[in-house]
Amino acid sequence: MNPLRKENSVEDIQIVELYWARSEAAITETADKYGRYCYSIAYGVLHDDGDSEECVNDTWMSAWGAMPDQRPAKLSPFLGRITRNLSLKRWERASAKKRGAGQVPLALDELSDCIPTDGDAERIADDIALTDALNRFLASLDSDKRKIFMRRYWYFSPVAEIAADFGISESRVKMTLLRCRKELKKHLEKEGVEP
Amino acid sequence: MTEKRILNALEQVDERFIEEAAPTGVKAEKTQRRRSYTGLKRALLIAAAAVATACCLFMLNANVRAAIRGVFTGKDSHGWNVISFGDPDEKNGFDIRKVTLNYVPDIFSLPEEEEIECEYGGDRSLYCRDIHLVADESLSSEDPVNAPRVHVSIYRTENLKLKYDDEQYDIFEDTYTPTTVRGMSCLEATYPYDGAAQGHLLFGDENVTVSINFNGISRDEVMKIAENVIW
Repeated sequence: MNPLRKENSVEDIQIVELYWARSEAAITETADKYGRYCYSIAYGVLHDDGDSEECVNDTWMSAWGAMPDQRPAKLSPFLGRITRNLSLKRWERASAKKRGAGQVPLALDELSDCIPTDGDAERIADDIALTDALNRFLASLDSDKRKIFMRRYWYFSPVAEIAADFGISESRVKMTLLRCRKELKKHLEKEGVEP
Repeated sequence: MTEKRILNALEQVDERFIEEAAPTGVKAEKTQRRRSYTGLKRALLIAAAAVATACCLFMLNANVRAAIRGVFTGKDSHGWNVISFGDPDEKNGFDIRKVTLNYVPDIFSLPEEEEIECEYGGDRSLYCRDIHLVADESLSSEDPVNAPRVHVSIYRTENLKLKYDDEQYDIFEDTYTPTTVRGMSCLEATYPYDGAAQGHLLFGDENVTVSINFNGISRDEVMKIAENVIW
């Protein structure tokens, strides 16, 4: 059972129905089931309790505004994306004012390994093509490597936390990540994706 | 391409990948598995040392050394800079009993002073033969006394098996990605193609590089064993 989510609580489909019915219980149920999950995502980016709490609250507001019309089949990735996006935007504002810490600067620095070197200057790739390429890349990884990669670059989990959760050394996490980044670089070059 | 764009594009990846990686408590299971493998590895190392020690008792050889210091002695015909173990003028047929590595990256989970015995020369020294050190061009091979020295440890791969999940595998050397520990970087690693049997380990620092070839097993098994058992 995922300790960050209460598996035995209201099913996602029921929560979504509450949103569609414009019932405020939707927020309560969402916060109860996904509060810690979204907080962990926000904290990974912002590394600040207050900012993370605000992002989580903003997530509920965004979800309220998104449903209807949307009807996500699963709430965790839906809410996770919102939180991640809000957190990154907040981080950008904070870094512009030279505030805040978190894992984002490290993650950005690490991802410089993935930049293809020989790009055709005339190639233009949009976000969809890049996401498609990323999906194919992630599908090619074995489960553990993919999870470690996503923990780092989607959830912005610190290396130490990833190592602890997987029961491996931090060095091994770093090596796995670096290897993934190199493979991603080759993959993007091969697919001719250059945003 | 910008790193930020990759980061943003990740937001829209398949939901399955997002859910799969959601933080969860898997530490207990993995730690328990790793702990048992560490004990297994240590038991094997002790067994290997005991076997090698027994060999030493039965083989009287004037060239036997308790520990060997490698000395840079120049390039071979393939362009590799070669480290000779023992006296520089006794490269061929030299019997190395024990070599220590001072700069073992912590990915190998091996204490710095731990020594692994091996054999060098003849049919039983295949592994050792593949070891070369690529040194900085400015290093001189003409003065063996002052030439750079490095200790290199070698795993005894022949006749040493590892039992893993009730199967037995040959032990091999491997690494994954560059990492820097105590000034020593793992520069690259290549793996066998599925079904192939050879691999390559390359690590070092800015001055010397150790290259080790190995005959291993399939790629998936290489990764599985090396990640979960060897190190």
